[in-house]
Formats: sequence, C-alpha cells, structure tokens
Amino acid sequence: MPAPWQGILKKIDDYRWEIPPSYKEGMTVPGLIFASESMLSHIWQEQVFQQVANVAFLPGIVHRSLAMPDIHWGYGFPIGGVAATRIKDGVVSPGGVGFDINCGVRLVRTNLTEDEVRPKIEQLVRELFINIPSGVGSEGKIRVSEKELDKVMVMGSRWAMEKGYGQAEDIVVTEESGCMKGANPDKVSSKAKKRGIPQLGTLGSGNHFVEVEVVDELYDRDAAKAMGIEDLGQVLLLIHTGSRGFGHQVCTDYVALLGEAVRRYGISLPDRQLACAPINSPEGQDYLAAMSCAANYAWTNRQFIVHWARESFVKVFGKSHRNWV
Amino acid sequence: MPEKDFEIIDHTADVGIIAYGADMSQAFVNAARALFSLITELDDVEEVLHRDMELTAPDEENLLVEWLNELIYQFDTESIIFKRFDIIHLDSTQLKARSYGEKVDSSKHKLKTGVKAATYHMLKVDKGDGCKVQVLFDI
Repeated sequence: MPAPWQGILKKIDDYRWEIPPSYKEGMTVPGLIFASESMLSHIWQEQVFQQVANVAFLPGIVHRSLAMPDIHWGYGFPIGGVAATRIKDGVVSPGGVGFDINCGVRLVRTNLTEDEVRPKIEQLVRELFINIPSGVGSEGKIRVSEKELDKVMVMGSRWAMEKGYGQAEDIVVTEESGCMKGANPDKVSSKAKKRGIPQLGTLGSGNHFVEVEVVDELYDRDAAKAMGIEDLGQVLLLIHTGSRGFGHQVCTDYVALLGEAVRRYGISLPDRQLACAPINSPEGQDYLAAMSCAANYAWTNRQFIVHWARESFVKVFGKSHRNWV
Repeated sequence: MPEKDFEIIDHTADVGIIAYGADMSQAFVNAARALFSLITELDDVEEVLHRDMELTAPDEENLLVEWLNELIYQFDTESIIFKRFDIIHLDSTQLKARSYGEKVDSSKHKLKTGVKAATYHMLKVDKGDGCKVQVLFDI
C-alpha cells in the first residue's frame, strides 16, 4: 500500500519533505517538513499538512512554510509551524504567534541532589501546591490595579523583581531580559486587562505545570554546564506557563480586528484564523504593541512562580537562596 | 431531531461540542449549557444572579463564537458559572440574552476543565431540519 502522503509530499532527503506550490492554488512558496519517514507515519494527518500549505499563502512569506518534527494540528497555523515574512511587504499574523502569547518554559537549577530531595518529595510537592496558585478558576495571590497592570505590560519581569519577587540574576538569564520593547498598553482592550488582573501569578490549567526533575543523562556536557547543569542526579525545576487569559484575549481581539484588515488590504486567505495585516500598517503595528504587552505579562507571571517555588524549596530544605540560579 | 440537547466530541488536545435545538435560539442555549457542563457539574449550580449580554457579529457562526467567548469571559473575570439562558432576541447578526447562574464556590463546585476560548475551527451552524451547531474549544 502506498504511503498516504504519496503524491502530496516530495521527498528531498531522509529528513526533508516538500509540499510543492501546485498542491494548493494560492501558495506562493513551497511547504517544507522536517521529519524522518517513520516520524511522518506518526504525524501524518492531511489536515495538518493543509495548514502548512495554507501558511504559504501569507503575503511576503520568505523561502518556505516550515514544519518542525513536532508538527500537529493548530488553529489556522499548525503547532510547530514556522514562517518568516519580509518587513517591507510582508504581514504579521496573530495566529502564528499563538493564543497563549509567550507561552514557554523556565528551567531553574538547584544545588540539591536526588538523594537529598527524594525523602522530602511529598512535603516539597505539597509546599509547591500551596504556594503556586494553579488549576481551573484559580486566582492569583497578588491583586494589581489596572494602572499597575499597565506597568507589568511595559516593564515585564523587572516589575516583579522591583516588588521583591526575585533577584537581579533571574532577569539576566531570562530571554530578552524579561521585557520586550515597544509594548503599549493603550493597544490592549479593557476586556483583556480585566481577564489579566485576577490571573497574574497563576500557573493555569491544561498542559501547564511545575515539575521537579532530576538529571539522568547528559548529552552535551558543555551546553549543560553553560546552564549550570553539572552532574547526574542534580535536581532541577521546570515551569511551563504563559500569558493566561490575558494573552488569549489579546489574540482573540486581534484575530477579529485583523480579519477586517484582511478585507481592507485585499489579502486572500484559505482560513480566517490566518487573519493578518501588513507589518507596516497601523493594524500590524498595533498588534505588535499589544503582543509585546502579553509577552511581558508572561515573563512576569513566570517570575512570580519562580519566586514562590524558591520559597517552597527554602521552607523544606532550609537552604539559602544562593543555592539557586 | 436527536433526543439529547448536546454531545461532547474529543478532538486531539481539544474538546468540541455539538448542540441541537428546534431553532437557532435553542441550539445556542444548548451550546452554552454544553460549555458550562465541561467546566463543572451543572446540577450543583444555583440561579442566584444574572447577566445581560448584547452582541453583534457579521454572521451566525461568528455570533456563536462571540456568545460563547463572552460567557467564558464572564467566568474568567467574575467567576460566574451559568446554567440557564434566556435568549431574548437572535437573528443572524445580533444576539440579546440573559444568563442565570452563580459565582464559583469551591466548597460545592468541583471545577473540571478550564476552557480558554471558543475557536473558529470546525465551526458550523446548520439550520436544516431543526438546528445543529458545532464548536471546538481551546482548553
């Protein structure tokens, strides 16, 4: 039996597969998927590859609509899809950034070993649960005013640190130093702000988590060392969360606003969730300003959680903060 | 016309609903009930307060998404779980409704799923024999 992608994907080499522009009328560049044949058989779902092709419709897309090996179905854009657009005549699309703007992980190292942590793991997990608000409908321990939220949107992680939630080194090792420039709270709807206020400093639900981890294998010692990971058995903490309902509302608002822009600028798209506007248009710039606000919210959120996780460790192990990076 | 008011459909990492009704109003009501039944057990919810909503959208499908997203917004910002919905007016671009429910009380409401948004994916409003609507939620 021929593979289901026969006649759709063109094999370039063992790890690269092309979707030629002839696959769908309107594609301006080919699609390119990074996967081995056995991975393809796991990830194959024609709808997902349609999404890769749909991204190739975006005006100003450069070179290829790319799909990483973790590709799976998303809203408009596939998850694991990557596209670059030209600043001069390309577009920005909120769906490509995603609903949970700046959803990401933060890895925190400790000087503790598995042998030290395991006997107290239940106490530690209980402490983390108490200290870090999580789950459906949970509210944060911090209540900010709308004015303070504006500062969070502009300053990012530094705001949390100035309020005593963290130490200067945290910011040094955060992407973009925990603050994206160009954030403008005036470009964020009051609806998004209202959703953002109660959820600041919460982990959320779904696939968001705080995980106590142990190093059991080192693939690249130099890279690990650069991140302060030295030995097998070392205990680490991984935090996964994002901009919560705030980022979600920013994305929802701008998918709707840019849906109108699509008509105004005469852009033709195969899926309304790819809604976009020229980067240099007022609508495109407004989205980028609002997106930066949500990115800064997410970094602040992760900063709070790092702080409470640290407090939990200190409570259980009685060691000083300096045991952490 | 199926006997049930709505059904839940699993879709990869997300969850969808199909809601039925004799007309569009009833299907919109059942879609809202399906949404809150994902969040908690509706039998545990009482009608102690209400909220009025007036929404406009370019067409029925967008209106359905707006309607459900407005309810999610009320849950997120005010922690209100709704269980009963009166649709006062509904046409293809406008909706006026009053929704009844109460604020989350962790001693009696067990929250099940966090719903982040109604999406446009697989979105359908089918007004054939009776009305059938389909929506996928990002959870």
